[in-house]
Amino acid sequence: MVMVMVGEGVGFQDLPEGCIANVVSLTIPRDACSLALVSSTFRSAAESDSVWDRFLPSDYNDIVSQSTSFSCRSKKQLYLSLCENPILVDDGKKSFQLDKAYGKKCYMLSPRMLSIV
Amino acid sequence: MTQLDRLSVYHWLNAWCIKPVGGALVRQEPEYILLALMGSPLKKIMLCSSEKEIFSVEEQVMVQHSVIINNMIEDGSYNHEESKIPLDCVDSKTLKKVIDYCTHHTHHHNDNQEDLEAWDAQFLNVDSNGLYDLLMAANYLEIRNLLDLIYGTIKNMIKGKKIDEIRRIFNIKDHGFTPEEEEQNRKEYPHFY
Repeated sequence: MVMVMVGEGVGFQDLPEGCIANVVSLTIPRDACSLALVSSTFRSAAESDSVWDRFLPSDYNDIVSQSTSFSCRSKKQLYLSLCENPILVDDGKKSFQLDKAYGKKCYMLSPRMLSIV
Repeated sequence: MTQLDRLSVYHWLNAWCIKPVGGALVRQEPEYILLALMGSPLKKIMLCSSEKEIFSVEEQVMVQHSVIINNMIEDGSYNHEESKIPLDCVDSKTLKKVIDYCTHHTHHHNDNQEDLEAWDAQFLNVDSNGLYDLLMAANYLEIRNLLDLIYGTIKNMIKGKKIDEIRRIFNIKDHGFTPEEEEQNRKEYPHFY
């Protein structure tokens, strides 16, 4: 555990937005939403595409291309959309969405995919 | 041959100071033996802090860690006879620490992960001014592993903390929101404050 002493007159309030974004992208989506409330610079950083691109699954382009109903202005919007609106993938055999807090993939299988022996 | 192997060979040769020349073994300075055999791993470069203090450091150490310095050496803009690399935004105290970090990680890269992490933890046992200065220097010099280490540390400082505590840690006196926005945020997400 690294201990860092906190003092007055620190330069952290001048931390560039890019650096803040790098820190935020190491957290989880739920934390990123709360960090956006710290300051207007934090909000800018926490809502940037570079952060939410890290939260989206690495193959999100393949998944999203299977659905025709997508037009999101930002990666954060895309993320939230994938959380709130499940999409059909794999020729309609599965539905896909993201878990909001952690960004984990959730699949639901249609009965056709299950074979009960 | 890895950098560490070169150093091991250097130390071995240093102990013996011998070089085969036309079948005979001749006493030589170890640097020249190494130059002849493997190039020049102990070539030094000069870094100049914002306080105009010069630091001499092994070229391979900085080239391995800093993308900026590696590019300067590779594109030939650094002249070993005369040049110093001016680092006007890094003060002496911070530059010394950065050099320590890079030197340690070059010479100890074969150490086990636990030992390296313990060393890193001790290295970052600084106040937040020092941490900020290290972050700015690592960012400027593009030292990836040091940047990742510092970002990870900052993340741990704020993980699970309330907004008011995070503002205190970062000494944020003016959050930049309008009073209405701030009030709205506190009403909508009271558990974060």
